[in-house]
Amino acid sequence: MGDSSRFTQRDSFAPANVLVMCTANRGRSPIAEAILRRKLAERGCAHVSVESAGICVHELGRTGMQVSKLTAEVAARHGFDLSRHRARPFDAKRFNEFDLIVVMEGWQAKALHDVFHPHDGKVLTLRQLAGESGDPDTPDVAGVPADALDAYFVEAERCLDAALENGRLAELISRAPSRTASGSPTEETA
Amino acid sequence: MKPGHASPPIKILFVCTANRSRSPMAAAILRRLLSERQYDGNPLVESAGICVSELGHVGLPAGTEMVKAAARRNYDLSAHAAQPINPTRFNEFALVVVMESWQAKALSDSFRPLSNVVVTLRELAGMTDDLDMPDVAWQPAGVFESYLAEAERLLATSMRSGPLADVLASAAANHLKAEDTPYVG
Repeated sequence: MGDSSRFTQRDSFAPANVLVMCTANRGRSPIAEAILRRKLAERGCAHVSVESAGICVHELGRTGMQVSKLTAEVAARHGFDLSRHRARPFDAKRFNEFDLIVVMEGWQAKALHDVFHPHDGKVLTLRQLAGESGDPDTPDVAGVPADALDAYFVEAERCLDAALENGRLAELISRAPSRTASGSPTEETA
Repeated sequence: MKPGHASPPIKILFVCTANRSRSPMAAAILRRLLSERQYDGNPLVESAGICVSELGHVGLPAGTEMVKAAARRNYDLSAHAAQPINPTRFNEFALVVVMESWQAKALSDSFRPLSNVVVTLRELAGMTDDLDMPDVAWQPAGVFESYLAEAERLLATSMRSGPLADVLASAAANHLKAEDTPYVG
């Protein structure tokens, strides 16, 4: 034991809920959600759930809408099936259910901070989560050509790879469960 | 359109994030500026927010500090209730004035082809650099007063030329046309 993945003993880690959020939940956040889901599955992190939502979905009339045809095509080329995705507005009542909320732009983080006053590190932009310095905003992909969507896939992969190694996401997925009486992780039973 | 029936009133929408400070304040300022003109052909002025529903703010009153700053200048925001943009009504507005560029971008990206003019408040007044009016949520009282003073100045300027002046001119033209048309029963 211990030589293979850090996460083979999945009961050893506390469950964690991650929300990825963008404006309309039709481009950036469902893509990042799909990429993160796959990366977590590859690492055996069944204790981490990932969802996505948008912060303006209702007002922009996007509730229940699919991703654009181009987004679906580009996603398929990258090996992701977004055909079942439907745009969903963020639900303020569920804010406390999430351990980490990954947004795309600083204004989204600010809007959440102003309303929910989360602890430091709960709401971060994708680039902040990856520890990248400089511009914290990942630009919108609404209506952009295929090459800009490709560039977003590259950025999201890069950021999420970095985030799984270091920082808030890496900490979150390797937390010990708090419920164990002894304070030591529960061993997986064969 | 039947003769003698006025065309639907021209409408202006102010938009901010949560519809609790910046946009209701700007709407109140423009309503006062219009009422001072003592003129019947004025457009209707509304406000809404672009994240109201998601942030759980539907129906909440205006921010306490904004209400206080407004009262000191004799604006009454006490009856305001935050409301989200209604996407099915978005096209009703000839002019949509937002506070920050990201709001203009989100609206322009979503409601294509745009049938209305969407600009930030600073753009409306002809400014060309730093187009964003920063959010005032949780800022000290002085920030609300500064926002109010800037919004008053920008809207007064906007009445004279630019997209707001254009909308006011077409509202006036519509009104005159309706008055000139004799009623035929």
